[in-house]
Amino acid sequence: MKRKHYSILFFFLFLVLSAFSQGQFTEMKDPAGFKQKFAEATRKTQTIEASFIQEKSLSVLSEKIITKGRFLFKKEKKLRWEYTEPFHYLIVLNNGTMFIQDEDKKSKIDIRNNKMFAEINYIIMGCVQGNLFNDEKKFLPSFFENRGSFLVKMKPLASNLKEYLSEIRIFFDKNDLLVTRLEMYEPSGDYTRIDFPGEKINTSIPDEKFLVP
Amino acid sequence: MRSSLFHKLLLILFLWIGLSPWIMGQPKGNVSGQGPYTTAIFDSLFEKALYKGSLDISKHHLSGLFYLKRFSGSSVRILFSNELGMNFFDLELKGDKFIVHSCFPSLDRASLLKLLENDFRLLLVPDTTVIRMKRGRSKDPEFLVFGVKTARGSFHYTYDKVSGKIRRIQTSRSVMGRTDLRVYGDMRLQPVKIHITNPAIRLHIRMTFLSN
Repeated sequence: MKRKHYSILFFFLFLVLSAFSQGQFTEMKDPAGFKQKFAEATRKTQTIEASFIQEKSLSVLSEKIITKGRFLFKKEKKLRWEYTEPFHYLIVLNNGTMFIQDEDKKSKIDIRNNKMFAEINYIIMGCVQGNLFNDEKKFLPSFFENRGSFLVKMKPLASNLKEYLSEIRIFFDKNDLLVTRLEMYEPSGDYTRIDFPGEKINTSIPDEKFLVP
Repeated sequence: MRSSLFHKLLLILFLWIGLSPWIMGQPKGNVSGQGPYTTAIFDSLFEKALYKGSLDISKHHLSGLFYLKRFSGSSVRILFSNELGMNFFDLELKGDKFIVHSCFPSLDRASLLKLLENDFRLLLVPDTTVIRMKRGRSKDPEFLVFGVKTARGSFHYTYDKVSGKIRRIQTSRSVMGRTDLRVYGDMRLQPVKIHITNPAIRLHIRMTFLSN
């Protein structure tokens, strides 16, 4: 009877350990190979569409703020990022112009004349496409993997970025190299996690979705 | 003689009635016992709330989420982040102290932070330092107006007669210019909408309640 109890205990211990080993990230064996495969996948990707679930974790307050929405991306530089719950907020980036609709308030910004928004545009586009780690002047990347995912951690090098971002983590699915999760860490310890369930690539997305009124 | 004694007693009685608010430590003109010194705009039982909001200063527009949380009777945390989750500021009112846990570099100005401290104190922390209070005239019969002098400054409080809730607080004298704080909507613990304006530095804060 006692032996039976031990075998059940070992079985659960094995389950826990195997789950842990799958989740644990270790240093990537072939970062150059990953970069090459990723560049190829990016070249073939014309559009991306997905819903997203954003979780802002407030470390000191031990609270989480959940928001949800949908995003569309179309090559070269078109992005529609729309929050639908618990409020409505829309950002459209279209070849150098940023359009924001916050409830009834609409604003249009020429990114080329605005350094801060140009930076935001650059980071958003880089995160959605996942190629931000290629800019080694602005970020110091380090590469990791587990059984199902690749992970690239990036530490900002520019002092203005360091003030509000301590690290960006981008998770990729090993099969299709799509971004599955994005984490942005702040110096305070707070972080924002964005999950992209059910991403679809190369679907037909009309240009009207990115029109700036 | 009797008449003179009667007049003296009457005089003492009138003086006593006139001076009693000061002798008893009660603010002058507070007829109903309800007044600005008893509550803040947010109820004392309020614990936490999430607001969608925006902060306009000069020609800059920031939008995002305000998260307010009370930790204990004397500590309230105010966090404002953009929609993508990056913090603009994380402030704490702890008793008389004002702690800036983090602040976006372009907002990190002593004058702006002082205004934010004062505004959020008016919203969240009852003022227990009333020195003088006088009932004023209200143009609208549905509201009561009080002129209040406290250790924090001089204010005009506007009350809803029916609900007894504060609807508006205006600073009457301030080096930083007048702040006008208005709240809308009846919820038990917190207002639905909050508008704060300070024309002197062109500051506008708008908040709309989302959830607790």
